[in-house]
Amino acid sequence: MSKIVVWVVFALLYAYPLFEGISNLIALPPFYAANGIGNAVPWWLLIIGVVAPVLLYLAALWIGRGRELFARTLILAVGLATTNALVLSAVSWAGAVQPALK
Amino acid sequence: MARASQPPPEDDDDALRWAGDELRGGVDPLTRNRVAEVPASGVDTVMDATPAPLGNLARTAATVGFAVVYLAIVVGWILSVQITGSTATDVFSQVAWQFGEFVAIISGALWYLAVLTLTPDSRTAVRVGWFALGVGVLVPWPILLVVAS
Repeated sequence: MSKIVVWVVFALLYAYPLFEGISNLIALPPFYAANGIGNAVPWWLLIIGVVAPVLLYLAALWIGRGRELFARTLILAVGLATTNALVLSAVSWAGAVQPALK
Repeated sequence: MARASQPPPEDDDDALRWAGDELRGGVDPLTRNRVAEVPASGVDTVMDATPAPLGNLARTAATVGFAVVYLAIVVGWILSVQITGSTATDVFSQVAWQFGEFVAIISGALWYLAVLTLTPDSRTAVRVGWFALGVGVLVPWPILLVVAS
């Protein structure tokens, strides 16, 4: 029971970076196109933003399978922190590789 | 103000002895825990501790070395969140962004502690592998990109 509570709570915590990633994927290409740099969309960074939360959540569940509750929770927390670090890295890379707006 | 009369100072060791210990040839707790005096000759001193296996040395060195690396990662993320910012104006997005920055700061410490606590019996290569993976994933790019530019 407590196992499921941990899963659900962390699913919600992982959901926000996923939501951010999806909204970036939807909003950034039109923004770039409107500013004349439509061919410079950093697709790989946008894809990381969407894939990382899902992949790390599933990986944390898989690594934690069969372990006690503390270990499962710790692994999910590590995955969450890693997800957020990756999202911030992707955002900073996107800013670094963005050409000047026309 | 005079204090209540205190019991006279007595030998604290008395509390740890039973009367008659010596007569029964028993060893009281106090003397049992005392380090036996090393004989002057030193010949019959016996080492009963087995030396640590050689593999533990590499394992300990890796664990300590990665501690330094992960400390640097945490410092890197502390510096990184100073220069990243959210353009969001609503409270929920700002709180979520702040939370994201906070967990990014502690990501290095969490990863290190997780590897430390979850691989106590794993082979050294497994532990080092997890440490190395974390270093690769948790590179504090925001501050590095600013420094590099």
